[in-house]
Amino acid sequence: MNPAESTHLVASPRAPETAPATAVTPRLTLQDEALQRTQRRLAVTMILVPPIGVMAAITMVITTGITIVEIVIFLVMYALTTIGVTVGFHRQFAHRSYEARQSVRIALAILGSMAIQGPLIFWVATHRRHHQFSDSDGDPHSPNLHGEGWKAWLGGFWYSHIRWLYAGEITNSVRFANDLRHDKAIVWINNAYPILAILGLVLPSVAGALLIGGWMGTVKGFLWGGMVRLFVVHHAFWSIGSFAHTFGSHPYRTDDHSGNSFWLAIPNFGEGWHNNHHAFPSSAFFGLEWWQLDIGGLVISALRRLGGIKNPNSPTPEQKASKRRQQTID
Amino acid sequence: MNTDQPPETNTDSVVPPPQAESSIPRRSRADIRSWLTAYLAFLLEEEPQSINTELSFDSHGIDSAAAVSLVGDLEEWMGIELDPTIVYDYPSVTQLADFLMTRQERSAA
Repeated sequence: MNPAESTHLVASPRAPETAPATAVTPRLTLQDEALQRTQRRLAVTMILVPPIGVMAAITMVITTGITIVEIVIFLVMYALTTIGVTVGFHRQFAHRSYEARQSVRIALAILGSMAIQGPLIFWVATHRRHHQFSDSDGDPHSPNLHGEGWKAWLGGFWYSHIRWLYAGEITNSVRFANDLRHDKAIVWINNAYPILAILGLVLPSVAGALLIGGWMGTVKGFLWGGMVRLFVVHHAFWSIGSFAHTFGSHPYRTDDHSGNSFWLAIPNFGEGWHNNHHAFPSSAFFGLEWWQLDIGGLVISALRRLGGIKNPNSPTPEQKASKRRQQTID
Repeated sequence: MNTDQPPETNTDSVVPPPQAESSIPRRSRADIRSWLTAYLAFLLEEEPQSINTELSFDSHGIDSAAAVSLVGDLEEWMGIELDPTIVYDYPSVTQLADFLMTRQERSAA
């Protein structure tokens, strides 16, 4: 069960004294000028800075070349932060698709924060709203609500990929992520987001200084493990909102346009099996067939064997059969 | 899926109280207290009966996001425009309800 579906609360019928029973449903989004301004500024920074870093990295490759060390720093930071987002932010905190030790939850929350996709509670609230309204009014990042014709199509695609980050309204975490707002360690990590985001840039810089050496090594570590990594991770996840709600196969019946695609599942460690995910949002595994590569799911299996997590959800063969389409021609 | 939500979320932000003033009934003090108590109960994941209406919102752990959410919903429920700072100026259920009563009278006059 997606927790977001149970967050619209009806107050207890045993309301105090003479007053009649009161039902309260907190609003979908926060309309506050100051908050919106901060959001816009942070979003624009996080969108524009990594591409500048990518250009600097390319310039340095042309002028000074590249070694295996930069590539390893890039891959390690890429893998750690992608695991933080898909295994942590998404499968643990947004969907609670498995139980985990507190140390594992904290580690995943820290790694996910270093991916710079927004603070944890904001991320979870946005994602749960996406599931509740997927591809209908209220979805924070749907490509399919922008009208007919190719111009509207392009505009919708752009909105769902990037524009929603700065032009959209802020999802109300009180309504969608109230459970996390009561988790002290999670709130602490949520509030430490700016420090953790910077930590994700400092770590590869230090690695570059130690492994390559000098200021040049520091800069290369920063660019490859920081900027280039952020750029690729960002687009790998933004593509779920845009590509995966536009293209792909639809083996399961869902109320939205979510599609599966193998090539998209590679860079974001399984997220590309997005039709599977919308059909079974509480499944810890996004790849549901042996050939559906799901690196995040493999990480969950490995962590279970190590004892860090337990009871990962997955749909039974009957549940899969009941949602399967007859023909997957679309 | 809940169907009790207004489907449009991107348009209702421009004008805070979207309903015509006449469509919203005058709220009694008991109504307002009950609404605020229910809201706090939701925020704190507690029963409305266990909410101390004299305790400050601050000591209940209400942060700025919760304050913005609460005031936005209050505006809609009462059909009056409110400043987000009222949560800090009138920091308990009792004080805020008293303030909202006078505020309601003023906007009706």
